[in-house]
Amino acid sequence: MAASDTQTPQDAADAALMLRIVNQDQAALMELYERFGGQVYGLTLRVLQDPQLAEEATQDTFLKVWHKSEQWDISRGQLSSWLLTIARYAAIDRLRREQRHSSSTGPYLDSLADHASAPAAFGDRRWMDGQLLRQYITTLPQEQALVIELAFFHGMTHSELAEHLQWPLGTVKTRLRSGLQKLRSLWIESQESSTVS
Amino acid sequence: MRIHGTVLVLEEMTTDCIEIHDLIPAYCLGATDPDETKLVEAHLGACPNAAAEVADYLALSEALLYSAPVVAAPAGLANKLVAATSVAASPASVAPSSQSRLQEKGPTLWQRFVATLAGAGARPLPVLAAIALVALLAVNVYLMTQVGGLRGSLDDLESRLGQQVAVLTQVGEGTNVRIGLPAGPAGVATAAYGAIVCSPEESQGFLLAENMPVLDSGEAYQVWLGQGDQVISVGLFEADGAGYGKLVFTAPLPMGQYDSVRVTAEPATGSVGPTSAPTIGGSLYGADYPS
Repeated sequence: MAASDTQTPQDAADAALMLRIVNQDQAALMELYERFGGQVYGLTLRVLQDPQLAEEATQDTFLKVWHKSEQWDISRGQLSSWLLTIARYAAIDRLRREQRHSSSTGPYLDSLADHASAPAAFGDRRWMDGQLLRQYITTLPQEQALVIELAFFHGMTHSELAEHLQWPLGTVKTRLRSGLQKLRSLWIESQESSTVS
Repeated sequence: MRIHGTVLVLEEMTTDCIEIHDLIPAYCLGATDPDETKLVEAHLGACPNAAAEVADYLALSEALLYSAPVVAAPAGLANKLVAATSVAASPASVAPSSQSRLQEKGPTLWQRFVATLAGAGARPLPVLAAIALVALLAVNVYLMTQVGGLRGSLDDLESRLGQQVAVLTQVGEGTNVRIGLPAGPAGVATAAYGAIVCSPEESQGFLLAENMPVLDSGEAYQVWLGQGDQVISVGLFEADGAGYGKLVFTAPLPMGQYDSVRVTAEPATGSVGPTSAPTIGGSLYGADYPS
């Protein structure tokens, strides 16, 4: 799978960096911010669709890392994935607090290509996988892409999706499941073809 | 490929089992409702196939984290992080009436503090402790209002209160030493001076400064500890109109690990590193620490 967790020199560097943050080394936190600030901000901006709120969620994310750094366990996942998971929930929490669940559904999918990508993430396999998935989502039937988008980036559950979209609960479940199954199949196929080639 | 294997195994499943498997994609995205989540999690322990499928969809969910475009974060955010992660307390927020009232009664807090540490005069420790306690409580109130908007800050505040109490205890017990901080290039004109009180075995410290030049609005004094070629910030403070300021801080390491301290004027949100000449500063390494 794309997320195989073999130890790499980067893993060792991540572990060393996090150890410094556990010891409250401010410079280490800033190194982490330099490496992942753009990814964290990009993710929170995608969730919140508001630069000011995204900035606040990004700050929330790195402050949580600062205060809870001992919770990171390298054996349970990549540092970047842990950080982005924190960012995702920080943004969703803030979105819920701000009650900014928009009734409009267009911008979620349409605005994604408008942002310039920072060069730091280019070449990172996980980032490339993510960009591939972003493309695949646009090939799904629109209603499937929409429920995936709202479920993942807005943290909505089945019943919340049904209420938000005014769709029957069964329809929501079917569309989300089908969309994710297709997305996963497309992703697996791309990995197999890249392995063969 | 696991997906093919899963399809084959599905043929042997019960209807209930299949219904639960249908929830797995949404479960891995965090989109199941609480009752559905319980169903899936109860099923996972008894069904290796379900666990394998969960692993696959969790990988998909992880990859989705990287699907957002990378966007350069706002320019000022780094400085905000530095300020937010510094153990800082602003004396400007201490009630001015309290401070001026103290100054009207003869010796300033600074003078009482220095006299106490130098062993001069009577034993004003109870007075010092009371004054310091009031000041530190006021600082703590300030901290609570400032970081109230930050999630998870309660633990941090409790920790800071504990640090301040620890410093008070150390001062009261006389286990600390005072190290003078003479004026640097930016403090000569006003004859700025200061002192840091700390123990080489402890990470807490108490910095007092007097005659500090008045800064522009939007600026504050930032305290740096030096360790070889590296410096770290331990907090920001503001000086009042008379040039008096103080900071209770906690360093990442025991103070004996650092060799210098300097105080520089920086933006009120803090800087990543010193950007101006020291107003006060001095050497810690080899200072008059008790052996």
